[in-house]
Amino acid sequence: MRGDLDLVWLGALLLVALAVYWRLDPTLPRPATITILSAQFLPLILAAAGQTVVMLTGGIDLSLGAVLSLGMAVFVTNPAGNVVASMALALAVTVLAGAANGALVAYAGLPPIIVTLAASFLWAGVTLIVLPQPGGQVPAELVRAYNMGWYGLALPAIAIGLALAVWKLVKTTRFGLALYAVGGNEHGAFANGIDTRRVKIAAYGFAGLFTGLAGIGLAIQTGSGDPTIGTPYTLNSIAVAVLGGISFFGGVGRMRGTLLGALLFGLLSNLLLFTGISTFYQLILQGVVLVVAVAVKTLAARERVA
Amino acid sequence: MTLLNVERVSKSFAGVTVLREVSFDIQPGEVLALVGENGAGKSTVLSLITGLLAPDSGTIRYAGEPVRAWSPHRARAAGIASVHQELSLNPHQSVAQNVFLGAWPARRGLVRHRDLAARARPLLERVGLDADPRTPAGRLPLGAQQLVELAKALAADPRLLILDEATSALDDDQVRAVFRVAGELRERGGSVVIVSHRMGELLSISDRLTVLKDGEVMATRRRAETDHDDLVRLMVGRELSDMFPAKPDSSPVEPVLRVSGLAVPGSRAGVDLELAPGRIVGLGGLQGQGQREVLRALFGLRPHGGRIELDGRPCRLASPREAIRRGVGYVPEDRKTEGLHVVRSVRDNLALTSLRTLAPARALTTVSRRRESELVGELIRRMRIKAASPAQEARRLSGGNQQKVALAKWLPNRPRVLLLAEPTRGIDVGTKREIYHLLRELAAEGMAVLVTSGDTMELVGLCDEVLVMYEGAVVDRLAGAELTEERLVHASVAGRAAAGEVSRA
Amino acid sequence: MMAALTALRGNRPLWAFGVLVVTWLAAILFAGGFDSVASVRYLVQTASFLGIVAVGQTLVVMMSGIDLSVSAVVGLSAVVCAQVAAGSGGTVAVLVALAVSALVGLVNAAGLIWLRLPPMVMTLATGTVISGALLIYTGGSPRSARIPLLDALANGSVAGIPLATILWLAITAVAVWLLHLSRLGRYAFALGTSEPASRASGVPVPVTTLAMYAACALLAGVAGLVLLGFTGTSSLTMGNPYQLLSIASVVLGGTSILGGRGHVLGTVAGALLLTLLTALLVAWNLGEGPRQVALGLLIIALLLVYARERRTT
Repeated sequence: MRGDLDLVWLGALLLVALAVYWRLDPTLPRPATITILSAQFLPLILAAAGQTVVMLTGGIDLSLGAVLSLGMAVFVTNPAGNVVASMALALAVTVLAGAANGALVAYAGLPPIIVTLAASFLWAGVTLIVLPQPGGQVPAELVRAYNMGWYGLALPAIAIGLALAVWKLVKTTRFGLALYAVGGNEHGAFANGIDTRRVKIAAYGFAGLFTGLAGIGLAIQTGSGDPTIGTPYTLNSIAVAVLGGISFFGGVGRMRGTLLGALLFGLLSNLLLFTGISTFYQLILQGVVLVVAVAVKTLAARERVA
Repeated sequence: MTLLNVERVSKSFAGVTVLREVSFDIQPGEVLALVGENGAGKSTVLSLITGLLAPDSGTIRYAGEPVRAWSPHRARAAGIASVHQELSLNPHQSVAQNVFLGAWPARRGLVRHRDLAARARPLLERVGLDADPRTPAGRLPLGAQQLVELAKALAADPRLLILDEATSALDDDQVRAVFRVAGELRERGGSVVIVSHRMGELLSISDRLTVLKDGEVMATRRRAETDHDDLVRLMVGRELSDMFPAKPDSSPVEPVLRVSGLAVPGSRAGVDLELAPGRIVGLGGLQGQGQREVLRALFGLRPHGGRIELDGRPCRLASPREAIRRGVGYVPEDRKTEGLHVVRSVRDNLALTSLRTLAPARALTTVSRRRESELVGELIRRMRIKAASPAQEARRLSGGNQQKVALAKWLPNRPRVLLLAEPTRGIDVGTKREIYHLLRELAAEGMAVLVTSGDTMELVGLCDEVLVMYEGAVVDRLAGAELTEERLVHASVAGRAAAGEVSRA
Repeated sequence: MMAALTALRGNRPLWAFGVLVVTWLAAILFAGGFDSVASVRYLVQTASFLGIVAVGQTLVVMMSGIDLSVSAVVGLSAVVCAQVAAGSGGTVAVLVALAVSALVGLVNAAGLIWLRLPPMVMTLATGTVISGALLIYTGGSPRSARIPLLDALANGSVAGIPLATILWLAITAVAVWLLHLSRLGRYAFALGTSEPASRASGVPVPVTTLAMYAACALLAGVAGLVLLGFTGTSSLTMGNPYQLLSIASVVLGGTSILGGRGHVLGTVAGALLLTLLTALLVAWNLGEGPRQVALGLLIIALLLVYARERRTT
C-alpha cells in the first residue's frame, strides 16, 4: 500500500534522528528523559492530531493556535477551583469553540480557511478576556509529577497514548468512516445519505478536544498560562500533518503519520540545540524540512502516476 | 399492483417549465426506459422519483401510496436505489467501504473491515466485477468504478433501481453485466428505470420505452412495437436521416502527422499512426486499451516515447503549449475538468485559446475587448451554441452546448490536427449529428482529425479509417468496405484472443 | 432591469464598498471624531500599509493561491533596507530590499511549479525560513534607520493627501490593469478557476505563477519600506499583523478565496473597512480582548452577508 510506504520512509527518518539523538544524549532511553521529551512534544502532537481530524474532512483550522491558548487560559485561571473540574471546563470550552467553527463551515457555505481565519481573531480575543496577561497557576505537585515522572510513569506519554487510542476507536466507528468519506468525496457522501454537516461539526469538535488537551499539556509543562503562546501551533500543526501524509484535499492520511511527523519535527529541533548551532537556525531547518519532505512525497507520487 | 405512478406531474424552475403534466407508470418486474434528448426533462423526472426535487403539481405514488415529504433519505429507505453517470464514490476508501457507503454495517458501534470485505464480495460477484474489495476505489478503471456504484445500489436491496446513464463509461462486457443484473432484478419482481443515449442498449433491455420531448411525454411504447427510427422521430420530432455525413472518396494525401512507436510509460507496445488533412481517423477497441493515452501523449499531457513527425520534420510534444503552438487542438473526454472552465463565462472560455491574437506582443498586453467580442460572437454563430448570453457560465449550458464550446475554442487557431476523446458522450442525438457534420466540415477544410470513441456505430459512421487498440497496441486497421460494425467488434474482442496466444507462446 | 439588479447583488466587490460607506457613516454618527479631515487622512494613511500588501495578496488569491510569507517579507524588506542603508546609503538599500522581496516571490512560485507544493505549505515554509534568516542576519537586534526618501514617502503629503495613500492608489491602478485588462491577468483568472483546464488550453502556467507571486512579494516589500519610513525602525515581527489581515482584506473585498472571482478594487474597500473597524473599536475604548472578539464577529458577520461561496451540493 502506498500510504504505508510513505509511513515507512517517515519512520526510517525518525529512527535515524533517534539514533543521532541517542549518540548525543545517552540518557535517551531512560524514563526521566522520555518523560521530559514527551512533555515537550505533547502539545505539538495533539495540536497536529486536531489539525489532522479537520484536514481529513477536507477542511483546515487556522484558529487552532488561538483555541489552544484558550484552553490553556481557561485551565490556568482555575475557574472551577479544582484541577480536574477546570480541566473538564477547559476542554468543554475548546470543544464548543471547535464545534462553532464547524457549524460555520457546515452551514454558512464559507470556505474553512476563511471561517477559521476570522474565528482566530474571535478566539484570541476571548482568550485575552479570560487571561489578559501571562500568568495563572498550575498546582506545583502536578507540574512536578508531569515533568519529572509519577511513580516512574511518563504521564505525558500516557496522555498521548490515550488520546491516540481514543482516536483509533473513533476511526472504526461509522462516524470515523463518514469522516473519511466526506473528505474524499463530499457530494458523493451527501448523495449516499451521510449527514455531511453533522460530520463536519463533529470533526471540528474533535479538533477542539485535541487542541484543548494540547493547551492543558502546555500549561502543566510550563506551570502557567500565556494568552498568545498558541499562535505558532496553527502553522506548525499544519506543517506536521502535511509532513505526516495528510492531504490538503481531504480523505487521505492516517493519524500515525501525523504522530511520526510531530516526533520527527520535535527531535530535529532538539538536535539543533545539541549541535550548538544558534537556535536561530531552528526556523530555517523547520522550513527546509517541510519543503523537502512534502516535495519528495509529491514528486514520488507523480512518478508513480506517470 | 403498480410500483410507481407518476400522475400529471409538472415542474418549473424560475418561470421556465421543464415538465408539463408528465404521466407514466412502472410495473413490478419491468424495465422501463426513459428516452429523450438532453433537456427533455429526464433527469428532472428522476430527481422527483429519488426525492431530490418536489413536483409543483401532480402526484407520485409509490407502492400505491402518494409520497409526501419525499427526500433522498426516505426514497432510499423505501427501496429506491440509483446509479448515475457521475460517480459518488470516495476514491480513497476501499471498494468494500464504498459498496456500503453511508450505511456501513457495524457491530457494537464498530465497523470491522474483514466483515465489510466479506459482505461486499457476493455483491461484486453479482455485478461481474473481479476486484479485491480492499483496494481503494479510485485505483480501479472508470468502468469498474461504475460497477462498484451498481454494487452499492444492490447493497440496499432495491425494489426500484434507477440507471441514469450508468453504462456510458462501460465496455460491452460490462454493459452485459449491468443488463444481467437488471434482468435478475426483473425476474425477482423488482423494477428498473434506465436512461441512456445508446439506443441499441435500450432496445435490447427494456420492456417499455417512454419518450420525453421538451418536458412532455410523447409516447410510451412496448419494445416490440417500436424501433430505432421510430424513437428518434418521437424524440426529435422529425426524421434524422443523414445522421452521419457522407465520406469523401479518399485519394492518398501526404500525412501531416506521422507517429511511430509512440508509447507511454507502462505500456508494452508502440503505436504507429498517420493523420492526413481531410481525413477522420478513429481509435476503437474495448474501453481503456490505451486510446486515451495516445491522445494525451499527442497533446503533450502525458510523457511518451517514440517518434513524432509534423510535416515530415521530427518534433517533441512535451507540453500542451508546445502542441498548441504546432497546431494541435484537443477536446478531452472529461469536459467538465479539462475541456472547460465551467465556472467561467462562455466568452472567457472561447477567448482563452485565442488571447495571443487578441493581445499580441507579450503577455503584458491589454486584451482588446472589441476584438474579443467579435471573435466570440462569430464562434457562437458558427457553432450554433445556445447560450443566454456570452456572459453565461459554461456550467449552465447543456452538455451538447458545453461540448460545442470545448470544440469551438480551438477553431480560431486553425489547428492542423484536432484530437477528440469521446466527442459525443452523453450528448443528445440532435447535437451529435451537428458535431459529426462539423467534424467532416473541418476535415474538408484541411484539418486532420483523430477521434476515440466507445460507440462502435459512431466510429463506423464517422471515420475514414479506424485503428483497433488492444492493451496499448494497434491490433487492426479498418477502412473502406472493411469498416463495418461487425468487423470492428470482432477485432476489438479478437485482440484479446490474439494477445492470449502471444503470451502463451 | 431585473437582470441588472441581480448582477448588482452578485457583485461582491461593490458590496464591499457599500458596507464600507455604511460603516463609515455609522462611525461618524455614533462614534464621533470620524468626520474630520484629519481623521480621514489618518485612516487612509494607516490603511495604505495593509492595502499595499492586500493588493499583492489579491493577485495571488485570484490564481487560487495564497501567500502566507507576506508578513515575513514585510519584515525582510524593512530589516534589509535598514541594514544596507547603514553601509551603502538609502537608494541602494531600497533597491536591494525590493530585489530581495521579489526574489522571495520567485522562490515561492518555483516551489509551486517545480516541486508541486501546495501554496500554503510553500509560502509557510519560505516565511519560516525568512524569519530564521533574519534572526541570523541581524543577530536578533535589527537596526533603525532614517532614510529621507522613505521618510517623505511615509509621512509626506501632496495637496493634503498622504503620499503613502497616493502610492497605494497608483499600485492599485497598475494591479487593476494587470489583473483585469492584460493577457497575463486572463491567464491568472483561468488558472484560478481550473488548473487542468488551463493547462489543456495552453495557459503558460509557470510564467503566470512566477509573475503573480513575484508581484505579491514585491508589494509586501514595498509595504515594509513604507512602514520603515513611517516608524523609523525595523523589527523582525513588524509584518506579523499583515499575514491574516491581508487575506481578510481580500476576502472582505469580495474576492473568492477559491480563486477566479473578484476585483482588485474590492480589496481596497476591504483594507479600508478593516482599518476603520479597528479604529472604531479603539475609539470605543475596548480592551484588547473584547476588541479582537468584536473584530472576529464583525468579519464573520460580513462574510455571511456577502462572501458565501456557491454550494456545490
